[in-house]
Amino acid sequence: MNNHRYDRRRFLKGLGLSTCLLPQLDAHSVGAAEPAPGKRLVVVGVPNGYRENVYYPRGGQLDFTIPTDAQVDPTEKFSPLQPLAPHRNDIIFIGNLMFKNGWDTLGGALGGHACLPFLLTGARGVPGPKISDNVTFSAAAPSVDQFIAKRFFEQYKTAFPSLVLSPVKELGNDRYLSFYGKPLDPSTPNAPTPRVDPVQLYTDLFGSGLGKDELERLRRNRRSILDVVGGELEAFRLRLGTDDRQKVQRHLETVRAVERQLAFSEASCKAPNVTIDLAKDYLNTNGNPLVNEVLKLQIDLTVAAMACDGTRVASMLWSNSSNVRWVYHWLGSDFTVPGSDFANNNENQGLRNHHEIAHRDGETGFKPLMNRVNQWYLQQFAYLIERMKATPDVGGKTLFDGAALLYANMQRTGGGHQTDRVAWILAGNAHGYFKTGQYIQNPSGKAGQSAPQNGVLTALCNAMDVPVQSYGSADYGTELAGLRR
Amino acid sequence: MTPASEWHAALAHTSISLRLLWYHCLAMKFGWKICWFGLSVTAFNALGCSGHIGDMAAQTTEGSSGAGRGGSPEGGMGGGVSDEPDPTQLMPLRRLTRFEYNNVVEELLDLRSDVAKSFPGEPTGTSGFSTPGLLSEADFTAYRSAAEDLAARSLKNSNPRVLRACAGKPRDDECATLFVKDFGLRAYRRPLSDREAGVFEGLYKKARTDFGYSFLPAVELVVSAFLQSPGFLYRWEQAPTPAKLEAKLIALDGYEMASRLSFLFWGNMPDSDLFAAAAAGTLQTQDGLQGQARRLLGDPRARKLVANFTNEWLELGDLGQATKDDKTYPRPLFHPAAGSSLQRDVQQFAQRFMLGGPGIDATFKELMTSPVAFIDVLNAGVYGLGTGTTNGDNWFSYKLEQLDPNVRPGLLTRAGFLAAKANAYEGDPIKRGKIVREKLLCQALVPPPGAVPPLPEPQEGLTNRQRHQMHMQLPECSGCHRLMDPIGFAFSRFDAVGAYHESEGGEVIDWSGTVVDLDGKDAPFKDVAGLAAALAQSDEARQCFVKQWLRFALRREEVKADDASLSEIYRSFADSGFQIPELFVALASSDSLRFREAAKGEPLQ
Repeated sequence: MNNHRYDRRRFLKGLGLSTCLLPQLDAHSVGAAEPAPGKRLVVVGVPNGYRENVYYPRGGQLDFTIPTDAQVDPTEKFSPLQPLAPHRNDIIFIGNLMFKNGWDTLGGALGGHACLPFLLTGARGVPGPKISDNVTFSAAAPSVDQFIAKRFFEQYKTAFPSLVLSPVKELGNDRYLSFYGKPLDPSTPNAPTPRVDPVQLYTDLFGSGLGKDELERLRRNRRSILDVVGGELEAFRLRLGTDDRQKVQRHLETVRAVERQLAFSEASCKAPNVTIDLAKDYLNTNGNPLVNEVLKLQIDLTVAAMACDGTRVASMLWSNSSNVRWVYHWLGSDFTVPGSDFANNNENQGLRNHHEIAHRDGETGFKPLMNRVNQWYLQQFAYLIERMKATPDVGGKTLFDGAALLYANMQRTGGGHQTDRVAWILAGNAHGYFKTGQYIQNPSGKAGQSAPQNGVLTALCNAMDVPVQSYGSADYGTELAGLRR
Repeated sequence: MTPASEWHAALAHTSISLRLLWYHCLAMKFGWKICWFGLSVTAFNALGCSGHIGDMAAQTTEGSSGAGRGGSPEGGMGGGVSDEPDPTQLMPLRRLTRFEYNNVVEELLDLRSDVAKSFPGEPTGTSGFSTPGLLSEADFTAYRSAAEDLAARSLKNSNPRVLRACAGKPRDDECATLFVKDFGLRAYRRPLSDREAGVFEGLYKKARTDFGYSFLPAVELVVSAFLQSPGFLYRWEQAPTPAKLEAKLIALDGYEMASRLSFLFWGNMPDSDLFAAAAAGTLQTQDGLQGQARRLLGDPRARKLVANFTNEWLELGDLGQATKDDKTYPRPLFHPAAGSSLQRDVQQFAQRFMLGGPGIDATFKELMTSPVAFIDVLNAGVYGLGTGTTNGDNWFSYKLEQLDPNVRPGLLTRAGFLAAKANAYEGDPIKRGKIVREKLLCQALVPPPGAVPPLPEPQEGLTNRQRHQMHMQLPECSGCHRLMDPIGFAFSRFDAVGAYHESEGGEVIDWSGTVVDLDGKDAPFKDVAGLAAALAQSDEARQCFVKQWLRFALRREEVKADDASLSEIYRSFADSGFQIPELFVALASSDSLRFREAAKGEPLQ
């Protein structure tokens, strides 16, 4: 347990707030920060591929159906897509994409482990710190979410240009789904550090649940410190060479951003209808991570922040394909080693981790496990859809009406970790931009040829009213045909 | 499994059709040619790695008077000796690592904290060691929470050690001025400029007058502000005034050198002795630096640092969280809590032979070959020295044991290292060989080709080694795997938890192998002791060890400009009979540590 968590608990206790006692308010009932009508983007990165036998919808482009568990082969047991059945008319299932920018960077096949700098940037990589597979490339361009976030920020000045999240700690150099652009020096990716801790995220967004006087004092202190830190950074920056100045400039911009965020959490957008225990150590640093709880809270808080117009863009790396340190213990005993004891020690982990399951996804006992994991991820995606559908926007609309949500798997099969013929899912029509209710099996339109994912990234920009001809390296083509209404 | 070493796993599995083809090859006992066709391999892939190694060789032999890597003690490290300081690069601007943050907080604020454990984490830079770079909102708010908390805790009961600047004086504005000066020196690790002192005094005054705070809450605010300021958070050369260029180089001042030494050997801020030496100017002489280096190396904080270095160097990760199959490795052979004990054993081994002490021969040779281990109740089972029960024994007491030198020679046969380079079920010769190639020989490997053939699944009648050999002989694999697996075969008798087995399936396990391209030639060995002996005597391995420490010190890869420093450090190292503490002392007083070039666009005096 870390000390600051301890002290926070003590502090809350001291105020008579033993554990979570947060106002259970409906976000939309709150007055002043009336959400503006607009568009919202959420991109989700999901690792380790899927079993092709069971993952794809059945039927054709417009008459496709989503099989239920009962309809799949008994050896498969689970239909991963089932959670999306209620949202069938709100999605586009896009088969057969390829991260060609990664292939062209490496001069050969890109593996599923090393795809992160390529996935949402659409550009060929540049030298950077080592990631998985001994690959020493980083992103050369912003990821599509950060590109849009920057434009949105210029326009709407939301307190948070974007929320960059991941429910998993310790993903090493493979923890970046979002990038600002090419590295400022080859030793560090130019990328926002994903927020993991939901308590920190909650307090950054909605304050720490303190009483009025304590809150006033805290904010006064923080403002005075931000003044000092900002000044110190300015002075420090001027002492450096031009390259390092850019890095400190980033720090300085962060300070300014945090100042704005302080104003946001001071504004009348009150804590939303989110159940969170501010005294809980969600990151559970000494045990099996509560990835499921953290992920749900991150969805809740993202939607709440969007409801208050604190941000319009979010990026979530739900895990990467290299993470072998935890298992899906909440999915039942099939995911843990028989006889092991999760509550008290760590002796069982790793054997049923996602990576292991993925690589063995052709073996009889592992097929259902692989399908169940994918179904769980899609349940989370469905939950995001549902939350956004349930959250009102202005003008009688919901957040979902103006949303585009991208579910981007990092590879095709678990066993092969291939990055061609990958399927992605789009949800939401972004106020009528996308023609949802489609299954586009082969977007390239050419037999045996995958379409670069750039066509989807381009469509996202256009759907968000940040028009581009092509996103990423221009030679990968324009917007994918057929997505637009 | 660390992401960096993880790529091999992609080799382990691929599509069913490839797998069938594999078994076809095995079953039919065909020559490998049939597989080549089936997999449409290109010679390009196969040559990928060896080409790269060739480049490395060319690079490392540069400037060694044609002696080759094996020829002379300083071979491959270039450069000669001269009175002029040698050119050297900047240390990249970076924030404190989490390890450093916790250490500094303990020293500066007189309290124990592992708060940095909850920070968002840090990437591994090109040096191969943690290098926190650009700051994001997530980092900032984590720093802010930590700072608010630590500031409050550090001043609990008006902690006199934190407020030492005004010991015996009333807690008033004058005390605050003294505090800012004293605390500022320690937080920024150099004297504050008048402007800086004014900023923090101003914050104190604002808190007193505008906010109406009493003394302690006002000082708490000042402490919190220091902890969020760049002078505290960044590791960089930062004198209060712009640097002065002489002969194209900048000599680091006393305070900058104090930090370089303390962070190099302790992962911590300078102590009062170092600050005094900085103020007295004795850190700008070789003698002064070497004296301080020796003092620092004798301090317990150096042990902590060596443990941190070893963890990152050997990519041990958190062995307490390592995942082992409890059916294959049941109690009492492998206690589920043995991971952290195995980690401690590796670290203590490294501490013993890197730092030395009375009666200890702290040489590179001993590091590579000594058979001692630090045995406790948890790891005894793995070392075959007992059942690992905890009956009445103290879990935390350990004993130095001499193990069989033919079985457990040196650092690379510590069970923790072997367990880190293994999966849940079995040892992994690829990972084990890869880390030797990359981290003990400093040679780079290229990424694997995309469509990778699988490692044959475990099956009756095939040993771990045989499966890897079959895989390695595939032409698209051999280019790189011949550089890794034949080294890793030395560890064939060690399982996934690092325990020793002489035979597998009734057959004595072959643990012979070859280090391809060691000091310019292939070095075959009969067993793990043979590998250990070869590495212990290898110039390339010893040079790499020097390079690893330079990379760790400066968090960047060595460049041509470091050749002279590397060469001098290596000479001192060699002259001492490869005593590792002598390497450290030479490193501390090398030009690469004492000087830097000016950054592009840096304002100078």
